[in-house]
Amino acid sequence: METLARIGSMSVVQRVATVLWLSFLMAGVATGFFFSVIDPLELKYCVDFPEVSRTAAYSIGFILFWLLTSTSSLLAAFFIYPTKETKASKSQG
Amino acid sequence: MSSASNKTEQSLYAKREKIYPREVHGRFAFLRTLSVIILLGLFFILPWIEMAGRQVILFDLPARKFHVFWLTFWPQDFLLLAFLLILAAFTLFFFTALAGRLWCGYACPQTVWTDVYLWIERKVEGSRIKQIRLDKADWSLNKILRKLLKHFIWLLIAGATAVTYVSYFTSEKALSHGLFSFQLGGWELFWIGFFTLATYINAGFMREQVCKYMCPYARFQSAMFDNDTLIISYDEKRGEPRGSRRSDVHTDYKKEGLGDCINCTMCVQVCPTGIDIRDGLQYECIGCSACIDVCDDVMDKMSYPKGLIRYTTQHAVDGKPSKILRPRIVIYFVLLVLFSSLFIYSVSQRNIIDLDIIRDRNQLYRETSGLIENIYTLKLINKDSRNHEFNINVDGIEDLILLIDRDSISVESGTVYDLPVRVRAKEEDLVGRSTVIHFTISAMDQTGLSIKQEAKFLGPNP
Ligand code: SF4
Ligand code: SF4
Repeated sequence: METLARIGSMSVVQRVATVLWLSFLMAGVATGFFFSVIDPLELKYCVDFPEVSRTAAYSIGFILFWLLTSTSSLLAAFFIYPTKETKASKSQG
Repeated sequence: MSSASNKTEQSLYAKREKIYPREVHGRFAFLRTLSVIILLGLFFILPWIEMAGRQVILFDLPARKFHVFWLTFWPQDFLLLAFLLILAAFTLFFFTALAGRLWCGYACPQTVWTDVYLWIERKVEGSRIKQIRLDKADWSLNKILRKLLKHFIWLLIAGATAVTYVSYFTSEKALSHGLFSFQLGGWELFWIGFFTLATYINAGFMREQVCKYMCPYARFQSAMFDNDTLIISYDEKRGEPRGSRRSDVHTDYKKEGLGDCINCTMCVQVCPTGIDIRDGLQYECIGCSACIDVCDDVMDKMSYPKGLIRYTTQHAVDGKPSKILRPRIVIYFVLLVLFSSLFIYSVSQRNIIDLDIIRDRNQLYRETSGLIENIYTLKLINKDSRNHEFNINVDGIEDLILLIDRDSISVESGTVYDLPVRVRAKEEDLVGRSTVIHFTISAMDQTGLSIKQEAKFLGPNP
């Protein structure tokens, strides 16, 4: 409960930072790993991959990773709160 | 319950109070300025320095090659990069355990750019008091002009920063050429815009909140601290009880039961993170030493000895002896040495040439003039800093014939060379459908520089 209270008292900046910034970092790591193993120019041999420059592929890859990681962070940020029932039962008890 | 949630809601939307750090002069302020100038100088100048015709530091993402001085790293060298990151982490641990948040106070980009932005703010809007007054004042032409000018310069710096940053990833020459002829690729422009905005927001508005809420290092550094780590601390025993002096400086304040702190709150006014160092060590303190400088000035004016706030250790504050050599430091140091040696060893041992063999996809084999023929593409990779001329051999089957329609194969430094080759063998010499053969490439201009790779030679069912 103490942790929850602390989360509740976080400033807006801190909340946004927690979701967007941390997932930005992780997306960066993921992009680094992914593209050091896979050359986007060679992807088109294996799958139906549109012909784009490497810079474009890296950028799009990063943005997709960021979308993924920030979605996960956002969901985590929502789910960390107790459900309504728990809140009610807490205040009754 | 409702009052509690109200409170939560309030603090959720509570506006951060803007911090107006007062300008400081002094020995540590001098060191900080020096460090800011050196680091910014390096950052902006490095992309313009060339060595052997290319940028000395270039993480050439479009070409999938990293150039760091005379070394070139390829995607295959990924492990080395991981080593390098571990090395950087241990260096940080080591220095943090030893000297606290030196990195934060003197070298972190967040600190460096915020300092530059603060400096511009002071030049345009005036001292701390003037800034506070200007912000409180109604909008006037003067206020509008000053604000516009400040944000304009801020954006200019942010833009220059972003262009320079991106130029570490695509060459500076190409970038500035594209920039001035308005022919930059869309993605380059996107990233320049992205980093311009990031710099502008982080150094102009977020400032100490980055250190407080976003920096992972700030959160974890306390784990690297111990009682012998260098910290900035207020000497409570000497300072307390604090209190303002009577106008006559020469009355003996000690007799009146006062400590050395005159409660002028200068240390709070200079603090970029808005804390009071007199409340003890706080994780918000980035170790910028501004409060040391300003308090030393105050002590000088009062003709008290300097160092009421100073670099010290927790042990020293508690009156115990401080040790520099302690298990933590030794362990970090040993790990640091270990990883550096590993890194240097693997860099020196890594193959500076490489060979990839790709079979022709269209045909498994074909028969020509009574022989079985296989076609391959050899990818010759020269990671060395100079060009090489190569010789190619193939063995594994008796009387193998190697056909290359080129006289000499010279591969430029840092490039990959695609070489189509044909190999022929007699059918009776094959051991089965698939026979292992070996290609060897060796440099003609350097004995001992060679590499051997396996390939499969396919033939009809025996
Ligand atoms: S600057 Fe020094 S004297 Fe002034 S309030 Fe801070 S600790 Fe006390
Ligand atoms: S307490 Fe002192 S050293 Fe720490 S951030 Fe504030 S001014 Fe800098």
